[in-house]
Amino acid sequence: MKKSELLEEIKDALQREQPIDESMQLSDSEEWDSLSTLAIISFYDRLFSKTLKFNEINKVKTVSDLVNLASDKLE
Amino acid sequence: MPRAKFTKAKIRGIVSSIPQIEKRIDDEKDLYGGNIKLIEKIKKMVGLNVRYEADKYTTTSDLCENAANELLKGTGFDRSDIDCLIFITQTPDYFLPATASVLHKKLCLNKDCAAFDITLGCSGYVYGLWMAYSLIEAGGCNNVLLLAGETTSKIVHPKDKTTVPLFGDAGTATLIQRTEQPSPSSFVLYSDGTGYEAIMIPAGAFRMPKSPETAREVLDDDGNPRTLENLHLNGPDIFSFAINEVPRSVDEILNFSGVPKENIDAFIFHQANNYITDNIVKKASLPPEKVPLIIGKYGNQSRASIPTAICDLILGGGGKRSLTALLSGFGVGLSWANCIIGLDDIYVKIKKYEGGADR
Repeated sequence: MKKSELLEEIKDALQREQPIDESMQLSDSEEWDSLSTLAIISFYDRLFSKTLKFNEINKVKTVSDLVNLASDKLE
Repeated sequence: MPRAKFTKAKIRGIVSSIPQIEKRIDDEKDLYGGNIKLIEKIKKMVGLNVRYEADKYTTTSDLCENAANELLKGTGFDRSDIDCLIFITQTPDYFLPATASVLHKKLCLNKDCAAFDITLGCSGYVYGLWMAYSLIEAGGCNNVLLLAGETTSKIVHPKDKTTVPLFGDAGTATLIQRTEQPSPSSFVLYSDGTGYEAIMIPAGAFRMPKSPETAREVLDDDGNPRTLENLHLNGPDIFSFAINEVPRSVDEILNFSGVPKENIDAFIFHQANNYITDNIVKKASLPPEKVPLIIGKYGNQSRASIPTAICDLILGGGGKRSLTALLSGFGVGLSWANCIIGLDDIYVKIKKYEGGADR
């Protein structure tokens, strides 16, 4: 998967209208809540067969951190 | 892996008793700091809407007693013929005795009757059926009364928005009987104790007795208050567990039973939340039209959600009263179990509980 496609998936999971970039602080964003966490876990499982755990999600502060969780799956 | 096939037991009827207090997430704006957008997101994604809570005088056993009496009345079954009572809950009346003993008295059952509790959560209904079918198949019992319920509203912190709007209370009764006409059923059961902390009340028993420290409120990262005596739920880990293990286990019960997927009339999952069910359904490639979703009507009723969903399905099902159903319970433990059973013209009812304040 290309990084741009992953960013689009993350945007969908956050149900966000505006574009996102890697530097975006998730902890400051109103879209980053427990439901978007489930959406993130869902598409990592669906697209990458990767099971994210609470400890990994809990450390995420920025979109870049989310991208890094799938770095081995990107082109 | 525990796998079992039975032919000698079948369900005669199921009643679900729903408690008094109706709650709507739309009325709980204060819990969400007035964030209407978030409430709408929860309604759409998780499916929450209406749920029912027991009042402070009503316990799980009261709801199950109510359901059992209605079931015995509705089926015209003689209570003196019940030779086993199984009560499944995590909100018992007492530490001891087993609440099954209390229910044995209240239901005026015979002394020739085994009565015991099982402490399991959302997998509990399928575990209870497996136990009942096993006892009948082995020849030890003929008529098993399985009571499964929960009053989760009593164990959550009232201001914890991650748990309060999710859980509805209910008590159910299921009568399982020996049948001379073979009734094939299949069960698979699983456990993963490494996840025992994922859903937990840490304090209040003997590992961590209650103390002023365990009663102290602590805020989580999202500002939800909780004490160590309240229910703790690790949502992300439960979600990962459910979408990984449950679809795999659905394939296993289908393979083990030999029942073709297209012959299943209903895939009835524990109603954890609609987002979990949607993910399971997609991953297991199941037809969504055969998957009932009732969390919006009753909330997550823990182990009572599957029997309530069966009642709801049959009552609203346009007259089809005989069906082959795959039941799948999963949650606290971690524990999960599936079965494929025939539901052949069973008696069903969803009853509003009217007792309470005077008890």
